[in-house]
Amino acid sequence: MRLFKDKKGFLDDMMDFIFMTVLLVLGLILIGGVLYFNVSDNKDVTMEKINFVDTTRTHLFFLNTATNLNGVQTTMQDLILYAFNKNNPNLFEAKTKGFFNKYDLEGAVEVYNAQDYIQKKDYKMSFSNRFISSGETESVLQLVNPTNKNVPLITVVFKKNE
Amino acid sequence: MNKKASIFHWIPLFLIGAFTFFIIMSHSVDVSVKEKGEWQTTFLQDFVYQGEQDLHNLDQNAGIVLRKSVLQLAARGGYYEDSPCGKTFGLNKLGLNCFPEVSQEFGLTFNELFKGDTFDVSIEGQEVRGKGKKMLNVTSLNPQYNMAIYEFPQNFHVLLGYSFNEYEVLKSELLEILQKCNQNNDLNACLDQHKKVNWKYTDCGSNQFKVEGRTVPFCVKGSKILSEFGNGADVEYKFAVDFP
Repeated sequence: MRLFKDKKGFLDDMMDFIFMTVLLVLGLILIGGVLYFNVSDNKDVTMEKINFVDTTRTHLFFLNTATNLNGVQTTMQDLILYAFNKNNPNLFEAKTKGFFNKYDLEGAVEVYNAQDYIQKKDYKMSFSNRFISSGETESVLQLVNPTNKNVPLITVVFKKNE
Repeated sequence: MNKKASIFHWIPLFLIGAFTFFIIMSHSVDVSVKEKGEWQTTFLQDFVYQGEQDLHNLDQNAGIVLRKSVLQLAARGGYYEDSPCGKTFGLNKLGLNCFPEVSQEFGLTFNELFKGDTFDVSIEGQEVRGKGKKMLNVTSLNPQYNMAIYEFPQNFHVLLGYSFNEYEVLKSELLEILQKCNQNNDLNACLDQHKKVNWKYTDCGSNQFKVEGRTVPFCVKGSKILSEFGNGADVEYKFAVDFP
């Protein structure tokens, strides 16, 4: 008590200092939190766009992958057109499964009549080997279907889990 | 209170006020999160991705026409137009001095059938590459980049699943039977003995021997190629051979 009695203004200054320090620390925590989450969100948005382009690249690779159809060497996109026109989803599923297993991918492929896709109707053929459908990126490409006048375009949706 | 220390009262108060002001303003103003490398990711998404889609469509259309070209070229004995040795039975004549330069003839056939640009066509095994003369342009709907144009060559690259080496095999087989049956009086018997199994007379279905002078029409069955209906279509080489 004698100590404080002699240093009358000291206590005031000390309390001010403690108060200021606490506030500064809280302020720094706030700034740090804002910067951290901002950077994290920045990174997430960037990665989302990069994943989209990467998924499209994989999608194109899938469509151009060589395969065998009726004893003829061709590509997956021709097989998809054939399976779609001949209503043979089993052929599509088997070949697509082979691709996903070969490249150790997790995701799904859905094939629509282009008009049905626009009208948000159900797909005609599909394959999926994913257990959880979250965290996936989607790529949509169209294929010209010259032999089927009723369905001149088909839409292939490729989903890849990250 | 110590006057010197009074500033410590005002600094924290100022900080609290500034923070409160920020919270209030951020509710009314959209403080969006911009990605890192915004220009680069926009370039990838708006331009490169669109360009890849356009090239994919080109590959698809080119593939359909390439297969038609293979069948058409084979039906003409490997020639885009008439053989320099002439025609018999409506078929181009092939011989020792008359055999087509396949890559050149194929390019001409393809460009005749493909509507649009003209391509320099080159063959690499079972793959065909086409180098376009025109450039493809991609623009963005993003108002920030609406003045930008992404330009790239209109080239295609297609896996045909068919080998043009069949023409080399055909040529060697042709030279073999020319050597064996030239100046042979019984042409039919000689050809029956020396021609390959996949060589048929006149038509690949009928195999009926015909001759006009010393010229015989042939149909040689090659490998299969994907038809437009997704089935395997036989490539049939149709030509006539003169045995002087």
